[in-house]
Amino acid sequence: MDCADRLRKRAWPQRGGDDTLVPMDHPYASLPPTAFWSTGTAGADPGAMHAIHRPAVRIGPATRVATAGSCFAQHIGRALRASGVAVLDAEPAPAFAVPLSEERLRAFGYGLYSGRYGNIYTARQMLQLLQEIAGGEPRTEVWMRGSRAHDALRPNVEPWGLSHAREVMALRRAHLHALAAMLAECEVFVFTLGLTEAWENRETGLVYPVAPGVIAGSYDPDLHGFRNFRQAEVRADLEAILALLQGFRPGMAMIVTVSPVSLSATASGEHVLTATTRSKAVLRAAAGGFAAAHPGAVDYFPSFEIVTNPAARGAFFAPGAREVRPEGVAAVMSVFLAAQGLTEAPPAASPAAAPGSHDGDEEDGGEDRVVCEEMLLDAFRR
Amino acid sequence: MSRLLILGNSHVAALKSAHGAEPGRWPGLDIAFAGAAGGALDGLRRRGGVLEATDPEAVEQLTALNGSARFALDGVDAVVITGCELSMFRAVSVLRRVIWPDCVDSPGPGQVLTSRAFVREALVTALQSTLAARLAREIGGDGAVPVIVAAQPNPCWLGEDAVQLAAFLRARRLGYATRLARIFTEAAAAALAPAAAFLPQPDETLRGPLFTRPKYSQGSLRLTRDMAKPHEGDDYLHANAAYGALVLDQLATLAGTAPRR
Repeated sequence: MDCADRLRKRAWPQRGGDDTLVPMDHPYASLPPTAFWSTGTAGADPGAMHAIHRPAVRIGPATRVATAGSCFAQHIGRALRASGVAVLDAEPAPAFAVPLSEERLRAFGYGLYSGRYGNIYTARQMLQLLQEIAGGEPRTEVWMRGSRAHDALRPNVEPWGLSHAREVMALRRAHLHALAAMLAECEVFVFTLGLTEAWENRETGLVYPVAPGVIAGSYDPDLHGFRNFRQAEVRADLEAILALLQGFRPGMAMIVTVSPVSLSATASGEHVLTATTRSKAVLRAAAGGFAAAHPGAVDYFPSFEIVTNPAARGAFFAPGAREVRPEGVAAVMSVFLAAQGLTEAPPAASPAAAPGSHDGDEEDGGEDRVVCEEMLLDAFRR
Repeated sequence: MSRLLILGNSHVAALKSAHGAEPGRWPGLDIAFAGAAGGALDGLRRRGGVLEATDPEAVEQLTALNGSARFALDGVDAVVITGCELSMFRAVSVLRRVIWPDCVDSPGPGQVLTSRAFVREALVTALQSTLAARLAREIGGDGAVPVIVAAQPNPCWLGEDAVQLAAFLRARRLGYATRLARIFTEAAAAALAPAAAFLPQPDETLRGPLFTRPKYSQGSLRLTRDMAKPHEGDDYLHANAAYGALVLDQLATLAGTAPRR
């Protein structure tokens, strides 16, 4: 029992000096159960934390929503679509007589987000993309892998790469054009912040989604520099993102969330655990401040908190303690959807009730698999 | 002497009629033919050293056209599949939905600009579903019997205003016919691998990358027991015996036996 709990429990009754019971008043006395750790967290089912979120930005079935962000954001778009929300898609997969499998379409960046931009890990990367859309002209670089060319700002959406630099630029131009049209329709933009660490071109300031050389391109220490964005920078980028979004469509609202997925690797020089904590703390603080500064226009949704809830005792994490298990995704999305009135809250996906043995299937297959180039960093571990 | 079993739908008629017209042209080849409409061939299953139909309708059709619904594979050096949906029409069908930047400046109605790699993957997937690819996997999937798939002939050139070939003509008009033909060849080979090898249409039968010269189409025969009935005069899908002879020449060359011409 912590101090607040003790205070709440002692608020009534207390024994007076003449041995009568008298009420005592203090700021915690009338707070709801969600305000206390014992009842709000320790005593609550971590798979059904429905009291954790009261939406300030509403989404209905007809709301035109766009999604973007780090790997975890793929789950959000998928769940919204499954619940019948009109998730926009600027670049839908072509409908062939003999369709490609969902897995292959996702490998080509189709159906992951509201456009084929792949994972957007940092606020700066999101800002760059919006600036590029507004400008209408590609500002990317061409990275080579053997004889194949890759778009440095979305190197993973073409698993085989492209034929040459002209194809990269032509497709990027079409991509930007499609995204501009999509954003002009968008009413709510859901953005999942993933990382503060990134690599940039020192000369142009272009921030990449993944370090040069991991998927394609080559790392040049004189040209490529490491960035670890600070809270003020992330916040400023978020402000600029909102301004740009509302330039595409006045009144567009944002829902920001922070991915609970830990860093696969850090280049900060810190231990990866402290680097992860630093990164997530920065993102959480920036997102919270950003939402608070724009009531009604920006909402913060606590994906991070639901998955990392200590009461879940890590059960929402897959083996490896980094990826989120389907039960964790379900816990997050059930809160989100129920809060928006989009679906009845499903039965609690309590980690205690989840299968006790995890054979690792979640990591290498199934409906919930996400495309995540950041994981490739681990493959380069020495 | 190389022993071949040549299977096919209506397109096997070109090869069969060529062989019937010039039986001495391929002294190094010992050829057996088996043809039937697509549905019947789909019912063929390999059981040990025999390829046989499994349902009564297929048995009836194969027997009517070939005298048997069972084809021995023991001693066969290669099975050749011809036609059976592995055609340029599949490529054109995919390109109705997607196109890559080297082909056009801007996509047409209902068409999405995407990467060549994606178009290729979509085309491979489409070709893997063809009867030719299914048969190739059934017969050669375990590598026990070499399988060659000879392309279904491209449509016959009908002129610039052939509405039934509008997509082919569009590719020609916009200058990407060669790219289309190249991606089809690549995708066909990929779709058949590793069960079978792809044999492209003979060069001399082509009018440009996408069309068959009329002289290799006119007078094509229907697949019947007696091989005596020609297609309608406006048929543009089937090739004739002259075409079939060139395919048999290709096969003879692959077998290392020069045809007598």
